[in-house]
Amino acid sequence: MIRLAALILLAAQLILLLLVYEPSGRTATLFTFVGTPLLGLGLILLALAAFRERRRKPRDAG
Amino acid sequence: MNNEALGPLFVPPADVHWFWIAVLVPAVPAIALLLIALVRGRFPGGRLIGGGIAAATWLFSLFAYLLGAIHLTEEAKSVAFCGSCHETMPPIVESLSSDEESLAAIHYQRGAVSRSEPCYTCHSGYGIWGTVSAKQSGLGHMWRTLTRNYEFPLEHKGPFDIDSCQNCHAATKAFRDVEEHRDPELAQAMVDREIGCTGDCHPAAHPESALNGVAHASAPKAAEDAEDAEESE
Repeated sequence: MIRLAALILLAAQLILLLLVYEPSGRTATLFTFVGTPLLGLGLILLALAAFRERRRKPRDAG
Repeated sequence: MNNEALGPLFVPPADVHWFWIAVLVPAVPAIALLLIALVRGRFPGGRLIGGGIAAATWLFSLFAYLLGAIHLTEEAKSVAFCGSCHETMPPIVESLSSDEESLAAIHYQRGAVSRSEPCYTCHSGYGIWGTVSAKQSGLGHMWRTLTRNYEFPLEHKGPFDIDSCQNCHAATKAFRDVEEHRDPELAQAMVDREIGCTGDCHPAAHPESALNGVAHASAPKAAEDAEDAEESE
């Protein structure tokens, strides 16, 4: 799940870099309607993955 | 003739934006950490440090986007940004320099509005809520562009916010000296947004020919060019 979250967040960050490189109507639309939902999804997945990791490790240790 | 050819006094001072560097500050480490997580399937470090790095990645990614949104908000004020919506806007932006009768062109050519942000100056409304409303409209524009849900000729939705005009004109002597501006009925109709300044007493904001998008604006020009070519033969 961490890989999936990282992939989605990377895609979102690349869209952000595109916007910084060339601010235009096209990149702004991409940032708003593709990048932001991707960021939201990636952040939720990353939080879930970290939460699962934290819960699993003590059990593995015991 | 371009401004540079006229001399250095005709070139406006460069408006350099450095905010993009602030966007890169959290974006670059976020990308580096995400790449490591993608390749290794986990964040570097043990349970404690790895958890901290994951949290840092989470925050960096979010913070980069927040700064990116601020960067976009600033960049979206520029006339170049408005003109970048290729289907609809270039004829309107072009008419600011080439037209002689429309209100927007008169303001632009006389330097009455910002050279770099002329669209935003008049379309953002007045005060902080004007800015909020402009951003709200911008989102709507992007959505309609994305879904191609728009029609030509472009029309202003609802009455134009006369506060944008009043912000500069209300206190001027020239404005006060016009008898019509002091007419109580007319003033009330304007305050109630029943009528606006443009298109009623004053010229239309933009020439009609510029409101039909690139395809329609270039068609008559192409026809004119063909006619000119025929005549020259």
